[in-house]
Amino acid sequence: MKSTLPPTAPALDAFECLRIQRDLAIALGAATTLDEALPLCLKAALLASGMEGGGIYVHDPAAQGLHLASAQGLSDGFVQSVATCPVDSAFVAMVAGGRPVYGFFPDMPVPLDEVQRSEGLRAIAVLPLLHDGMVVGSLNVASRTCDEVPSAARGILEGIAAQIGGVISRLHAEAARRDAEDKMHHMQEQLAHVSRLSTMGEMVAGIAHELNQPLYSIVNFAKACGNVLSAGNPPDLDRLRGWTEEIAVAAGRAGEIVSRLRRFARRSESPRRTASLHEILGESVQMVASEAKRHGSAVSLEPGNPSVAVCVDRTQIQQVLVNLLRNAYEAMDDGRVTRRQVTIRTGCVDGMAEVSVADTGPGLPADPGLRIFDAFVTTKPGGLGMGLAISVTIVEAHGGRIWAEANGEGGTTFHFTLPLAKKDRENGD
Amino acid sequence: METEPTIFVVDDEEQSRASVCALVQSMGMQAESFSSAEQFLCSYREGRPGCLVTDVRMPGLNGLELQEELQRRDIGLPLIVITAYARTSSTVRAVQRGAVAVLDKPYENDDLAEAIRTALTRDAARRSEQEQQRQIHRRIGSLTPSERKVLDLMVRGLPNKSIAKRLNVSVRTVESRRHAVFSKMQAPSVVALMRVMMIAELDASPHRGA
Repeated sequence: MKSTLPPTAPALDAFECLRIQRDLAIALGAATTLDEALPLCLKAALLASGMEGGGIYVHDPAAQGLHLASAQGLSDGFVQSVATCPVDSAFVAMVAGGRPVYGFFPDMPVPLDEVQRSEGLRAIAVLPLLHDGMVVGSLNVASRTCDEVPSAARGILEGIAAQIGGVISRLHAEAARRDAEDKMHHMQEQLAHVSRLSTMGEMVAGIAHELNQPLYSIVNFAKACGNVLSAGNPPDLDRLRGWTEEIAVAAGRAGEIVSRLRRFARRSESPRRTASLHEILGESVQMVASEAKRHGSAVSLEPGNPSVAVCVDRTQIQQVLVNLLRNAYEAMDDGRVTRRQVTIRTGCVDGMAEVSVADTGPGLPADPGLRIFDAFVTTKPGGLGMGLAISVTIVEAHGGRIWAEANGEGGTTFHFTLPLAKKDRENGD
Repeated sequence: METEPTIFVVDDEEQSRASVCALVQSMGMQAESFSSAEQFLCSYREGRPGCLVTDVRMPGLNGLELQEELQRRDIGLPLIVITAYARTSSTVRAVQRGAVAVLDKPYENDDLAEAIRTALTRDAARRSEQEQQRQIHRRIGSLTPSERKVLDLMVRGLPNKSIAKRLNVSVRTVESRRHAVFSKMQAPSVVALMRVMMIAELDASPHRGA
C-alpha cells in the first residue's frame, strides 16, 4: 500500500540534467559494446532521477524474453530473482506496451515473490527501449524512499531511454556489419584456400620434378658410399665424409620443399604479420622454379629496396605471385616468343609497396571487353579463369589494388600494391 | 691416344652433377662434369673414349638437342639420358636414336652404374670397329688404281676371265693383280675379302681414303 510519505527525491536543476545527458552522450559515443554502454546509461538515469536502484533489460533472442543486462543499487538476491523474464510473463507484456509506466512497486500488475517484496522498493519507472519501432528492452529505476517518480525526472528518464535505444540500434548495426565482414573475410579465405589447393594440383608435375632432384643426388651419393665401402681396400674417409654431408644437404633440401608446400597448402590462419617482401617474393619464385624451367623461362627478382617490410598474410600473397608467375610462364610458352624473361620489381609508391611482374609474352588480347580480372574469364585453353579473380580478392582484402598494362617488350606487366608495415610494428613482430 | 674412358656428366644442377661424379668415381672411373650442353661441346676433344650422361631439361640446349648435335657432328660417344619426368614421346625417340638408356630420376640403385658399364662396352666396341675400318681403309688406299678395279670386281664374285674381259687385260695380268690385292688387304681368300669390304662399307664408302 502506498505510504503517505512525501516524495523525497532531490530535484535536479535543468542545467545539471543537461550536463548528465551531455556526459552520457559523449561516453556512449566511445562505447563499442552493450556491456560497456549499459552501465553508463543506468548510472546516468539514477543520477538524473534521484532513484537509488535500477536495471536495464534487453531482449534475449535465444530465450525470446528479456534478461537483465545491467543492474545497480539492488541486492544480489533481488537481481537474481528478476534476472530473466520469460516472453509470456506479465512484466514482458507490460514492457511490450511500448509506453513508460510509473507506479508504486508493490502495486505493479506483476506477481511478486517474497524476495522481491522484501527489497523494499516503492516508486518505480519502467521505460520501454525502442529500436526501429520495436521494443528491445526496458530501463527500470526505483526508489526505496519515495512513493512516486518525480514528474521533473520523467522527461529526462524518457530521454535517456531513447538514448539507450539509439545505442542498441547503433551497436546492433555495427555488430551486423562486423559479422558480415567476418563472414566475407572467412569466405574469401576459404576461396583462396580452395584455389591454392587447385593450383597445387596443377603444379604436381613440377613439384615431383623438384623433389626428385635432391632424391636423385641422395641415391647417387649413397650408392657411391656403398661402392667405396664394399671395395675391400681401406676407404678414403675424407671422401666418404664429404659424400655423406652431401646426402644430408640434399635431404635438407627435400625437406624444405615439403615444408614450403605444406605451408602453402595450409588453411591460412590469417594473422597479418610484418614480413620481408623480398623474402615472400623469393619463396614464390622458388615454388614455381621447375615450371619456369619447363617452359624455358628465365626469372629475375629486382627489388628496389630489399628490406621493404609489408603487413600481409604471407601465404595469400605468395598465392598471388604464384598465379602471376604461372600465367607469365604459360603466356610466353608460345613458338613466337624467342626471349622468355619474367622480371619482378618492387618499389614504394604513396605509402604502399608496389610489386610488378613483367613478361615478354605476346601480350593480352586486344579485346577491350575482356575483363581478365573477373572470375571464369581466361585466355588459356583449359584455364579455369580463377587465378586472377582470386588474386584480386586477396590484394583488395589487404587494402591494395591490382592492374595490368602492356609493356615495352610487347608483353604484359601486372602490378599490385600492398600495405607497408608500420615502423612501430616492425620491431615488435 | 687416351685409353682410359671418361664419363662426361652434363647437368645444370650442381648437386646432381656432383652426385653422378661421386658415383662414377666410386666405380673406379674418372668423371668430368659440365653445367650445360654447350660447355661440353666446346671442350670435348674428338676421339676421347667414354660415355655421356646428360639431363634432359636444361636451359640452352636440352639433352635431346645435345643428342642431335652429337649426331650432326658425328661424335659417336654413347649417351645416357636422365629425365625427371615420366617417359614422354621425346625420350622414347632418344632411345630410338641410339641412346644407351633413358633413366627416370630418381632411378633404381643399379641402373646408372649398369647403364654406364653398357655404354663403355659399346664405346669400346665402336672404337675397335672404327680402328678396324681405319686399317681397312689404309689397306685399300695402298692399292694401285688398277688393283682397286680388280678388287671391286672380285668382291662382286666375278671369275678371273670375266674380270679380264671387263678390264680388257689378259687373265695373267688379272691373276698377278689378284695376288697383290690379297697380300695388301691381308685377306687370304675372296670370302675374307668380302667380309673386310663389308666392314669398311658399314659407315663409309670404300672409295673414301682412310
